[in-house]
Parts: sequence; structure tokens; C-alpha cells
Amino acid sequence: MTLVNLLSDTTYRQQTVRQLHQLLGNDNKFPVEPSQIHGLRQIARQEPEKVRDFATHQGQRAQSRCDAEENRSNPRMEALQKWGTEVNFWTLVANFCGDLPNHWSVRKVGRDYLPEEFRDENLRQVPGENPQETQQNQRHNNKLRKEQREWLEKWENEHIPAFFERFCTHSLYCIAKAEMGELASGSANEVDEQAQQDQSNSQDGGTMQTALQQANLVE
Amino acid sequence: MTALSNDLIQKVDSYIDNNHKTFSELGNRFFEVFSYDKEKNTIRAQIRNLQQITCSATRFADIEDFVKNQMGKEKKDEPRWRRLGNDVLAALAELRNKSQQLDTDPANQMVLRLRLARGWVRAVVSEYLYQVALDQMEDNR
Repeated sequence: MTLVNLLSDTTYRQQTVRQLHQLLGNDNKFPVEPSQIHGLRQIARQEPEKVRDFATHQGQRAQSRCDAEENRSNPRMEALQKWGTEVNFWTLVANFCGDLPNHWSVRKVGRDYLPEEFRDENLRQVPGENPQETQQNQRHNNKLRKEQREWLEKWENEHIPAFFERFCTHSLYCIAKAEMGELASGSANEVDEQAQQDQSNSQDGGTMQTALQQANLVE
Repeated sequence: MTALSNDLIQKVDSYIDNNHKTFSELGNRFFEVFSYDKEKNTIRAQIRNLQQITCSATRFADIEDFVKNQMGKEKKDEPRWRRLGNDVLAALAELRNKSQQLDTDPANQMVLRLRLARGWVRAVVSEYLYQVALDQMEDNR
């Protein structure tokens, strides 16, 4: 069993349900077409490093449609709302691959699993006590940052496809539910179920990290 | 793969045994919704696919995703999975909950879920096949 399997089964699934529910709220329409979700899944599988650019580009296209609608003499509220939610959808997708504060992302999960030798605690103080030490510490810190970055890039290459597998499938499911007119109620149920599970996990005590370390799934 | 203790394995097996009736009811619903190809006398490939994915999955969410994918790609005029998908997902959610009740260790929970799912799918598909057999016997009379 690997960590990516375990996270796919737990954290990535939970985040997918939660984030999509937060985005859609009680809306009974899904903001993008199935073909766009298939495209996103394809890119996440084959070129995970390009997901962010793809999402940003799609978001910009939706934004320009939104702007064009706003500039019409009689802007249609429904269209404005549709493009607005689409912009938010693509922003959400781009943030999954980013590192912004207050936004959940695959990289942030990776940070929680950074091997001890690459963690920030190992950074040395700059400036040091003398210029030579300052220089040495600077070099050490640069090396550490580089190793950190490389490790996280490797993490993303493995985990972005796994996360988006969940995200895209759940999105297609939401589209099906929207067609059945059940999107809002269905998602809420799943989020409730998720919340119950989260609660039972936290009541059981111990963090996932500790348990995984015991199971030797994390370095 | 994490090895489960004999005690946990026994708990899983007894849960599957005790809930056999509920699982069979779902198998029955599969028969109602999917039936089988009476001309070719073959069962629906999608039932076998569900069994296949459940038995080979390394992640429990892959099984949930299989159902969601089927619901997502289904044609509106033939909504079999859309009729049954939510019930299947609810059954899988039950198994997920059960795994959390049985053990607190996430790695064990994942192995437990997969074991539960394999027991579950055996019961569901067996009942479906049984209903197909009964129907064929009825037709042959």
C-alpha cells in the first residue's frame, strides 16, 4: 500500500466533495461541460505540471465572456452568473496546484509529509556571526530550499493525477446529478456524511500523520 | 500491504455474513434495473465490471469512482446507473463507516474497506446472477 493510495481514498476524496460543495452551494447547475472535465483529467494524467496553466487559461476565457456579457446593453443575469461560477471553478482548480495561503492545495498536503531533513527547522540563521558563516549558512539554506522544491515537485507529479482523478470523477457525477435535478441535495448529503466521518476520525484520537508513520508509509 | 489481525478479519467476515440480506436486496435491485440480454442470454457487462473493479482496486475510492463515472457518462434515455447509483454509493459509504468503526489506524481502515467491498460485491453479484438464473428457468418452462 502506498501513501498516494491512502490519500486518494481519504483526504483527496474529502477535499473534492467539500470544495465542490462550497463552490456550488445550493446551485443546481454545474458550471462547466463534461468535455472540459475530460480535458482537465487528461492533462492531470499526462502533464500534471500544466494543470495550473490550463485552469488559469480556461478561467481567463470565462472571465472575458463574463466581461463581454457585462458590456452588453442588457446583460443577462443568468449568463453572468454562469460565467462567474465558471471563473470561480477554474480559480479553484488552479489553486489546487498552487501554494496560496487560505487555499487547500496538493502541495500543502505534501509539505505535511516533507522528510525531516528537508523541513524549515533545518534552515540556518542569516546573517551568521561572521561573514564566512553567513555565506556558509546562505549556501546551506539555498541547497535546502532547492531540495525542498524538488521533493515537492516530485510529490505533485505523483499526487496531482491522483487528486484530479477523484476531482474529475466527482465533477462528472455532479453533472449527472444536476441533470437529474438532484445536485444540491445530493452534495449536501455527501458533505454531511463526510463531516460525520471527519468527526469520528478526530474522536478516535491521533492524527493521520502519526498513524501513517506507525504504518511506515511516511518517511 | 498491511496485514490484518485474525480478529479483524473475523469481524469483517461476520459483518458480511450478518448483512447478507441487505446486500442481496441490492443484487435484486441490480436485476430489476439492469436485467440481462435475453436474446443473447448474457448478463450485463457492467455488473461484471463492477465486480472486477471491486476485486482488483487498490483504493476504495476507485470503486466509488466507477459508479460515479457510469452515472456521469450514461445516456439520458437509458439511465440504469442513474436509477441505482445513489443506492450503490450509499452502500459503499456504509462499508467506509464500518471500516472506521473497526479500527482507528488509517492504513488498516483502507485494507478493511477493500475486504468489506469484496465481500459485499460477491453477495450483490451472486444475487443478481441467481435472479438471472431464476428468470431463465422460468422462460424455459
